[in-house]
Amino acid sequence: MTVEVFSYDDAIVRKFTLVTLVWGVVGMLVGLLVALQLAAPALNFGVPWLSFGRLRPLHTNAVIFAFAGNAVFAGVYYSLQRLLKAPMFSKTLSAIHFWGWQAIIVAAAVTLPLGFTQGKEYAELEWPIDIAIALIWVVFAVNVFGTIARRRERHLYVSIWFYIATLITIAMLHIFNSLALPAGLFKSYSLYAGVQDAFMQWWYGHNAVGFLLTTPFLGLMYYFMPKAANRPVFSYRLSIVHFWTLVFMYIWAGPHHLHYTALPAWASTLGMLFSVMLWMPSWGGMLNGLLTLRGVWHKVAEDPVLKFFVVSVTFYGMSTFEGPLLSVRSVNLLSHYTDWTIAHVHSGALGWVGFLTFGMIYWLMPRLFSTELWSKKLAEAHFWVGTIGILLYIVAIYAAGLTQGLMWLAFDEDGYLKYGDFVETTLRLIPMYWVRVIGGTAYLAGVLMLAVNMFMTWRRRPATYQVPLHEAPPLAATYLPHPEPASALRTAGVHLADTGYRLERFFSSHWHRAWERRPVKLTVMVTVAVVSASLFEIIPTFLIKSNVPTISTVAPYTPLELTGRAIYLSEGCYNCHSQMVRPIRAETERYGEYSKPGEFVYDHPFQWGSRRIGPDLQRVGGKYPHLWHVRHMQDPRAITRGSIMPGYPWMLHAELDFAAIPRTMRTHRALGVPYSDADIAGAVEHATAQALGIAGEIATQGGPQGLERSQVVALIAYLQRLGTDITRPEPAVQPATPPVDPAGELSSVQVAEAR
Amino acid sequence: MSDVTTSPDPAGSRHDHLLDHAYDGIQEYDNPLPRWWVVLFWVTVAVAPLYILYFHFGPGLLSIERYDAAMIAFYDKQAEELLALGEVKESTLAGLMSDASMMNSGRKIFQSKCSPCHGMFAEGAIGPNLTDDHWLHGPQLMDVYRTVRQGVPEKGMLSWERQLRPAELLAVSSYVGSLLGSSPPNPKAPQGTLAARQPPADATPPAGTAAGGAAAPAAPVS
Ligand code: HEC
Repeated sequence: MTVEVFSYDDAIVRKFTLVTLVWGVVGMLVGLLVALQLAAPALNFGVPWLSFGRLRPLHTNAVIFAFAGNAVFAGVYYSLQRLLKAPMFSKTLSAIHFWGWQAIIVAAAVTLPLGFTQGKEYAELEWPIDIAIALIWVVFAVNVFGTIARRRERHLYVSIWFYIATLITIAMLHIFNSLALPAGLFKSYSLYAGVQDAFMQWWYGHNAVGFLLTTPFLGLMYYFMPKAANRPVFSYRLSIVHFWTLVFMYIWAGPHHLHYTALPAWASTLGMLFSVMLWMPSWGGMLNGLLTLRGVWHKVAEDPVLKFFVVSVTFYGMSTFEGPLLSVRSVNLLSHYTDWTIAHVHSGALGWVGFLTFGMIYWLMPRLFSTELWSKKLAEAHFWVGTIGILLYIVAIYAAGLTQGLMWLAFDEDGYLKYGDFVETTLRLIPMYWVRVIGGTAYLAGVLMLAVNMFMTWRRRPATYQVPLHEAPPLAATYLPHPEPASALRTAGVHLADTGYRLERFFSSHWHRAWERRPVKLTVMVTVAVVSASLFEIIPTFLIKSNVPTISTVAPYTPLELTGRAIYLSEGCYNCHSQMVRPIRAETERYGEYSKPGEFVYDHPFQWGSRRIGPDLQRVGGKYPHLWHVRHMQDPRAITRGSIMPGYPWMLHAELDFAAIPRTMRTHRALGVPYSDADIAGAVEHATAQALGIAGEIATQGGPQGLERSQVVALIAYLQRLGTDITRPEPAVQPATPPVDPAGELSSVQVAEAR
Repeated sequence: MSDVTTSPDPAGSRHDHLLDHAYDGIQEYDNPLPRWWVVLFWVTVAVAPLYILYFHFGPGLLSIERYDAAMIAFYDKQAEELLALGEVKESTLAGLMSDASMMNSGRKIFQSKCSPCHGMFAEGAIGPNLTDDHWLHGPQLMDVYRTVRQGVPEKGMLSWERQLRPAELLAVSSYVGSLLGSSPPNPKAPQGTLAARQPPADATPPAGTAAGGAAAPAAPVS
């Protein structure tokens, strides 16, 4: 048998590790700034590109795609080569992957603060960057599959199954959620509208958490945990079962982000039930992580790497219990739109993702730099400061979420909202927001300790790295599998139909061994699992007409309103405001009639939001006079004492781009919004007239003169339109259709009465 | 084949069966799935069809049905209260001022809906001061009630008829009436004409207001 000699490329791992740390610090600094802004709104210094709505997407994108993304790449590039006994397929592809990804991050860091956004959470980046992401992802995939093709280890270890699931699913999610029609180099509008857009967005949003922050990190855990603990993995069988159930069930759970919304009830039910079923598959990973440490718990006390891993996996267990809990409708009623969600996400992100990454980096450092870790004490200190930081952060934010959720739902004895004034519920949170700032600072301080430790360790590296050579025979062309153990039933002489023996074999999971040496089959099966699960929900969402009953009075936005909507998107108002009144009395009492699916048919993209730092805006149209909005946008605290909304004084001066309106309308027409040629031809004129009207009213009400060319007028036109279509009188010419959502409202009342 | 680096337990301390493969030195046990794990998994799977049967094909109420039921109960209660009040007249509104629960409601509504323009204490801001004896649209309680219901759109005062329920319109109008002469801090300068409020005479109510109060409540605002 010939033996081949080869070496691993660790230079690329060093690069990815370094940028993980750099972007981690940047992303967390931005996070700290936005957290500060919620406690002290003045901290945006009145600078447009420092305002909350623009920076919060930068924070989320930076920590998810830059920090966690690069950490995954570092871990995958290190472990994959070793698990396959083969260097990466192509050093050029590795380099393209590395530099391409960093360029994407830089592009994001520039465009998001400038207000270039698609207005969908965690998918904000504009279309040119989206295309770049897809291309670089393909480069990564080719590099990984190429390495697999050249492997010298016949079977794929469980880590690699998880890497494959990540590669396939993220590509699918990213491409289909980001489909949009460009209206310029830096602006595009989602292909989907309203209910369908919401569905796609949360199919993406939920599974991005699943397949960028869960599966690849489980893969990393399966490699680094047994390595660091020097112990075999607890259960091979468990890894098979929890891998497949996780991959198949995760996809279904997206709609749990849309309980009580205008999403059809069947989808929300599926989302909830699959989330509950996901509980045990998720815990399979936790068990295999923690039980691998059986017999070496004493080592945890001495080794900071294992400490990080143990806390990380524990947080994984906590958040994957909490997830199913939050997706139960009645719990969601209380938790949704509050900080509870934020706390949940951060226990996952700071605890699971962050700590796993730190543990991995500490473990890698001596190996990557061929020297001892500079200071184990500092690593220990990082662990403790970080843990205290997480605890302070999440305890404060859980308390904030519960407090605000309960206050929103509270009625007094007379049947009126106990806290009718929204800011009352905000003011209660400010002290907790300060505690969060302290917790976040501690966590970041820990990361800086890691940075110091890394820098000092790097300084002690040898002049040139020794690249160790490894030897292994190539894979033989033919392979004789180990015989399967004899069937227990057959040996015992139990007589069964053939299905009986087949079932026994299925549950013994020996068949899986064969899949593990057939990467193509494994990849195809993963693809089948995620695609079929997706289609089960996507097809009915798009095809069943009764999901979105038509409301005859809902009309497309006027040219000026459409422009105002673009400003709303670009300022990221959706980061603080929802546009979705849920059908519960505490909400209809506060905001007005609950939202109907048919109201959003022209909303590209939807703007239902996920967190109410400010009140819902779905029915804000007509609630206040124009002048109120002018004053409020100029300085919210002058109108609402204690408001934490950022001011937008520049909108009173910034010129509206009337010339761009026809293009925006043409894009919307291509997406299916019924604008006629005449509408588009007369758009600028129409917008100018509407702006003059609004500016005139503002002046009569005693406000500033001459706002007719300012951005604020367009924004006000949009805000005043919001949610008013369903109360608009029916045009007299169509007597046939009864007014206002007959299907939804009347029939459900009748159903309720009939019971 | 590989250089095994993970070390199993000392022999005999466990019954774990080590599988004969290793990847970069990582080995795996062939331990069975924990029993409780399997049981809980199947329980969560079994719950799903039951839930669907109960809520989508059985007696369980989905969110909108539940909401409709709650609203019907609420409107029934409100209709009863309104019928008990009878026709809305100056004296009805004056009478409500001594109803503590109505005044409490009125204050709540005022503070959440009206204060953005009239100030927390009706001292006036974008809109006029409501506590002084100068009035733009009449001093009587019925004038206030009409203004709240119909609004004065050309001046920026909205119509609240569709946003508030009949009982809420009554409560807030009468609450505003009760603020006359309350001299809040930072009052806005008087606007309109000086006019004193006459005590309720109640011969005939101004045209067009009777229906607003006494009729059955309007359909849900939608
Ligand atoms: C940091 C979070 C935040 C951002 C970003 C934000 N708001 Fe607000 N908004 C609030 C809060 C808190 C309130 C409630 C207090 C108040 O009235 O100012 C509010 C209130 C409002 C209200 C009054 C709603 C009502 O029913 O009383 C409007 C309208 C509004 N915001 C519009 C906007 C628009 C438009 C944008 C984007 C340009 C925006 N907000 C961005 C936090 C935010």
